[in-house]
Amino acid sequence: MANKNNNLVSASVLAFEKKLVPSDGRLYGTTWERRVEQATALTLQEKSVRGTISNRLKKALQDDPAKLDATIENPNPQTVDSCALGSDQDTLKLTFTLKILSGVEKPSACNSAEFNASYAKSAKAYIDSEGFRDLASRYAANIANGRFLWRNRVGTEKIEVAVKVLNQGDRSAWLFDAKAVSTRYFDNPDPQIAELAGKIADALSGKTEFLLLEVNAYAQVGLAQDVYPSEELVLDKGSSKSKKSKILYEIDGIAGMHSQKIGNALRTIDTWYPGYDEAQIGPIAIEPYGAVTNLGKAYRTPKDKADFYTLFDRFARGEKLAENDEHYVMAVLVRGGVFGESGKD
Amino acid sequence: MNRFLIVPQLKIHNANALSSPYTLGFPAMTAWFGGIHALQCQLNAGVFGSLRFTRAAVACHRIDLQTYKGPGDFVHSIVGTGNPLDKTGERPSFIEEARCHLTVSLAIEYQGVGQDDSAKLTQAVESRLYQLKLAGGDILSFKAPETLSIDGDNELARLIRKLMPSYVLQERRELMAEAMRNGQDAIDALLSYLKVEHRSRLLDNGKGEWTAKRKAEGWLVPIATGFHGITELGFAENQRDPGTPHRFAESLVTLGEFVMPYRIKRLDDLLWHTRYDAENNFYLCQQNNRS
Repeated sequence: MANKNNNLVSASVLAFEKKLVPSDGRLYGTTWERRVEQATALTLQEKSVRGTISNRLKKALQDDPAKLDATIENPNPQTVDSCALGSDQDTLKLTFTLKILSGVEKPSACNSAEFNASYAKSAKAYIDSEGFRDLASRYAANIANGRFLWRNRVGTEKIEVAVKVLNQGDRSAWLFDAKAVSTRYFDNPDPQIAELAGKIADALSGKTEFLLLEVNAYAQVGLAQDVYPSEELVLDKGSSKSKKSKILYEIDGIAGMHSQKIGNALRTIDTWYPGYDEAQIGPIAIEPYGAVTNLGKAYRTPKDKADFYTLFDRFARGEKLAENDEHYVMAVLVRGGVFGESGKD
Repeated sequence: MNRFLIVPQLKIHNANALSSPYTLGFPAMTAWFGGIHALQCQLNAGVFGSLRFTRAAVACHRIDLQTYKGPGDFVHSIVGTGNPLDKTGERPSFIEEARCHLTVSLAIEYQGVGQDDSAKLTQAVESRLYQLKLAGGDILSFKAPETLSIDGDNELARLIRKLMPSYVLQERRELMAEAMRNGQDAIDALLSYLKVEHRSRLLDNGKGEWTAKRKAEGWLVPIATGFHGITELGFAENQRDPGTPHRFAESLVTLGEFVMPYRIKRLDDLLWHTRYDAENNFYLCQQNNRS
């Protein structure tokens, strides 16, 4: 498989393990005053509601009031999962652990020694010169600003994020006022974030063996308000009439947030994609094609030559990229994935 | 003297829940041995050059299979994961992959490290384990690894105590062998042990009584215990490691039984080991069966 650009062999088997490994998040309910002392696990509740017909109706129905009435009178019962704080609780506690590993310069699988050598050289050069400082400060900001709370972050009175190092012999801990940390810009002067970022950078670049963090986020959302765990993706729910239209995630009976969802929030650091200024949506998650699912759009297309594969091929073969592109490529490798090149072309 | 490395209460997240190519459940024995072997290789590369992991047992404390069964559903369905959009911004097709979260304890029999170095070994294992994956899942946490020396079957209880409460897999290949000697083909033999037969019996008062029964007692499950090479050793295009000869293989599926470890009286019935049978091209994870 001679490559088109230069005659370096590419790897058809190439995979990287993720270097930021979050656990599932667990949801607890508490009160703001006593948030640190006590919290009770939140459970899922099943609700059956009578839905109203509110979708756009066909033209024929709109013109015939009798038929319209009949449609709207038709009950539309739905069973869904929901999760809410207790009637005496005003604060959501989300807790998870985060493991940070090194070894970005080593693919977990690679079948081309030549490619591996040339890639490792580029990666080492990046680690030596940058030491993951820029990426780490962005990851740290996303921990501090509580982005991983997702919808639970919206409309809250106060949010506090407590981070603790679990490594043996390290007693570091930080307390962040999440509302004071921007989710749009990463120019945080906060020395606490810089300190956390330093630890993350050391773990990513292999100066320390690994870093294990415990993150506890407290969000004051209001008495007995709904909170939002992850929704489960069940494609084939069966044909039973009483099926649920929304299934939420739970771990041992505790409402949960998927680790993937937490990971996606933590790696929402990409401000280097083309169209960043026009899009006005701030940072997007690190993805090979810059995909933003809720907008149904990929911001880094191969057409713009801004997708991961285009940049990575150049990077791995020793070409010098623009500084921002280099950050992006390394961030995708921290995310992990299977990046082998098809042997067919 | 048998020396053991014990890793208690390993919490694994999103492990591969394929217990064989056809069934979902507890990850296959081959997956565990892959992880154990990787750990040995990493330790060998360090200061434990002569360390050998010879046999191992995987004790399962808890398994949370990511499936869903709604009210009135007949079967469970897999809980999937949503994948990021592709380059055109379209949703990629779903790939159904069975996952599970589990808590296990590993008991690994080892050789080649002296008693004096056991503290160094557990320390090395602890730091390596955080960077490893097991059965395709992420290791979230575990209790401090320890070593244990026991005198064979006589002191088996000391090892068992470390693993309770849990279930361990025992190989029940002999059930398959027996059924196949009686003329059943492999898949019939497997299914005949898994199916539940419901029978009715007429009682004296004119009413009937239903009973449900399996062919053999015990918690029998189909498991994959290795691979059968179906081509000659050679080289294939785009193979994973160009330096190692490649061979296409199919899975070997047989029966296993989950048992509480306290029922086990011999080390051989607890521990699994790997073996290469060059004559038949078998790559096996097996127990020392008496048969």
